[in-house]
Amino acid sequence: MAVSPLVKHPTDALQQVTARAVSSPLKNANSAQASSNGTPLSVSVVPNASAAMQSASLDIAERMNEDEKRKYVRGKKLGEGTYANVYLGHLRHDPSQLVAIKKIKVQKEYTEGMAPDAVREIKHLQELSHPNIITLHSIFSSKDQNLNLVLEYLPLGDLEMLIRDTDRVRYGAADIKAWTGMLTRAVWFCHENFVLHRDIKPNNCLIAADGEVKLADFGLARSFADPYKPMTTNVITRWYRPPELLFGAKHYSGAVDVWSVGLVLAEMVTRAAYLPGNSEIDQINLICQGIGTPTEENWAGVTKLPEYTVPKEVTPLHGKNYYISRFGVIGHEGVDLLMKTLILDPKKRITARDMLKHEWWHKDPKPTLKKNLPKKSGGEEKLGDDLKRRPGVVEEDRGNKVARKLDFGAAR
Amino acid sequence: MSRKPTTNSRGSNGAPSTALPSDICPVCKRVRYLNTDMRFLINPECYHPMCSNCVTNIFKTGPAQCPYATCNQTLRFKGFRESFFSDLGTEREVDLRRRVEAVFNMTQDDFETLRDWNNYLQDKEDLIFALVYGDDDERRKADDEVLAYELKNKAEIEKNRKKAGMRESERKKMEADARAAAEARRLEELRDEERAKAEEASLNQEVMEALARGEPGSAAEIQDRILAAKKAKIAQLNPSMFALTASKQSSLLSIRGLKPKKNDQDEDESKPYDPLMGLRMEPQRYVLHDRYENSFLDLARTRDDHRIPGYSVDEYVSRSMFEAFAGLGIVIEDDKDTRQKPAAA
Repeated sequence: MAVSPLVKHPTDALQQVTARAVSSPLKNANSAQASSNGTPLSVSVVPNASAAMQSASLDIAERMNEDEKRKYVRGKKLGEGTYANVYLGHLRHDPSQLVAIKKIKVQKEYTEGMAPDAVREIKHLQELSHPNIITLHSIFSSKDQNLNLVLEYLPLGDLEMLIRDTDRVRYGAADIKAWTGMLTRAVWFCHENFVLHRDIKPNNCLIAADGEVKLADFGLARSFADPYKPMTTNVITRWYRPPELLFGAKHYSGAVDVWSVGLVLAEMVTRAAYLPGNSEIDQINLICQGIGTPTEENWAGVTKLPEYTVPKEVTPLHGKNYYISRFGVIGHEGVDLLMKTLILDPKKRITARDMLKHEWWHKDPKPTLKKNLPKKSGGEEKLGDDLKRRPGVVEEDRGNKVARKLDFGAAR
Repeated sequence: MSRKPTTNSRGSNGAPSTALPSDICPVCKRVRYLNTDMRFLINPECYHPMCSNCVTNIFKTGPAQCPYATCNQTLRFKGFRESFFSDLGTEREVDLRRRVEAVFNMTQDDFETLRDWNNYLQDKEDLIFALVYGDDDERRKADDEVLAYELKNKAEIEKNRKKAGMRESERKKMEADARAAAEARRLEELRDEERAKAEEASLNQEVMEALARGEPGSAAEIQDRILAAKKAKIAQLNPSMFALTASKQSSLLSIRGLKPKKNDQDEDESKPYDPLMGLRMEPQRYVLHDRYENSFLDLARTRDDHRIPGYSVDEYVSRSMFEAFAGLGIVIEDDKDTRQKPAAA
């Protein structure tokens, strides 16, 4: 029985009635499964009498969790997925403050402990505080030890909705620049804090009520690795996966995220995914066609990577004119930045920091102000969709049967 | 071409004749009686009026001198327009005021004390007076002053102009809202009136029926009884309804003349775009060297599986430093206060 001698246990049963909010005799009964470490903190008296009665039987960790849980009211369900349910919620004392509550489902694969994506998400989101990164307000567990993440409520859908809705949403070079800027700042901030996001794609770029783009879904994030510690190559949704991951490299850097940002930028311009491969082999083929075949000339040592396989006929790297003919809308400097993010060799690829120092930001047109950015209403269900999705998977309806679940088990 | 200028009140240059001619063009002497569609135009260079025909004839082919005998201003076709006021002196003063106002466009909010604000207004008025009524020297001096000020404070003026535009649109919106609310109130009143009428009609009906059934008492008594019953029923059904309608009414009230709320956190269009949004992430407490030698790292620098896919030892080194210093300089006591707010937001 893990009862610390430091915790006072009332000997008198009457004391329980006075509800002093200290441990009660009931505690002994359930402290075996509760995580009672008996922290000898002085306990503030809970003003609500019934709450006090209830919390009298809980230890301090449980009581803190209960307090946190009581701060929020869970509203209607915004979306349900295999990985999580998302609910609309609001603060108990101020119903006008909306939040999204992401309730992680208990998963069959991870019956002992928490799902790794949830752990990753919590671990990194609670450290990162930036206007372009979704805010994690709080975490609590509900019954059956279900994890609930209280996230910022972002009602206006995501970048993918805006990109795909070619009929109703129109945007121009200035809007693309504003969005790219916000996304790049988010990635830059992650990298400055040594976090790899590893799942950047348009539908992980949610849009706040004021038009700000917020990077979400840190379910695949991790911090930069130590030397000699391998990382999994099975990350980043395939269409946005860089060549070094496709070739099976286990020691990579922030350059993987930069590649994804480049492809998101390209996708915003053409309003269609630039490299929509339907298998890993196909993805490599598309990279060879769309950018150029990775060879020893443009990427020293690439042939030594474990899974280096390229099609027989070598496509030379495309010149600037090739990109201008496709992405000319964003101007010469924009194309220059795009080309630098899509350099095959990750050592030569531009970093997020240098992206922000690029001259494109200072050329005309000026990035659109947040409030003037094109918006789309009715993103509520979409927020639900976005948060409940399992990280690293392409949505079924986007390509025909492109989706395939990632196997985390193999690499861990 | 020598014509006697009409009433010429002031000096040689830019002196306006005070009134717009009504019937005879002072330049070509055409008469309205024969040209019913005659319009008189002026040019803000000298404010000499002439008919539109003259303007076309003289200035269509290019800039030319003003046809008035004593006036040697060169005028352009583009500059001609109709005068808003029939008194050209007023027209000129309004134009000058508009010009000065566009440059000196600060508002009282920009000043710390009322006195400063009044001084500013006084200076402005002095300038306007010099421009309108001054002789040549005074006018030129005032003009130079306005120009110099304009050049010096271009950005500030532009910003004030934008602010004023925003205030104007906000005011318009507020007025439109108030109008809409008034319209809604009017409709609501109409509906209430109709409802009351219908109520009365049904009451009369019921009284008639009761009388027909032969209930005891006079017509007035029966009416009172039915009314009382109805009231009781309504009160029982919905005791909160009366309070509700009352509160609804009060929320419909619109208050005019409030100062528009300031939103100073909003983005400013006039500022250049900062891709970093003012955030700097350079380490504050230590300096990173270009290279850190350690035998533990040598292999990571040279091994193919690290080198080729872009693994960066330097990043590892800077991360180690970052993590070593993470959290230093953060005082939990100070942080607590600030944490409460974002959590609540």
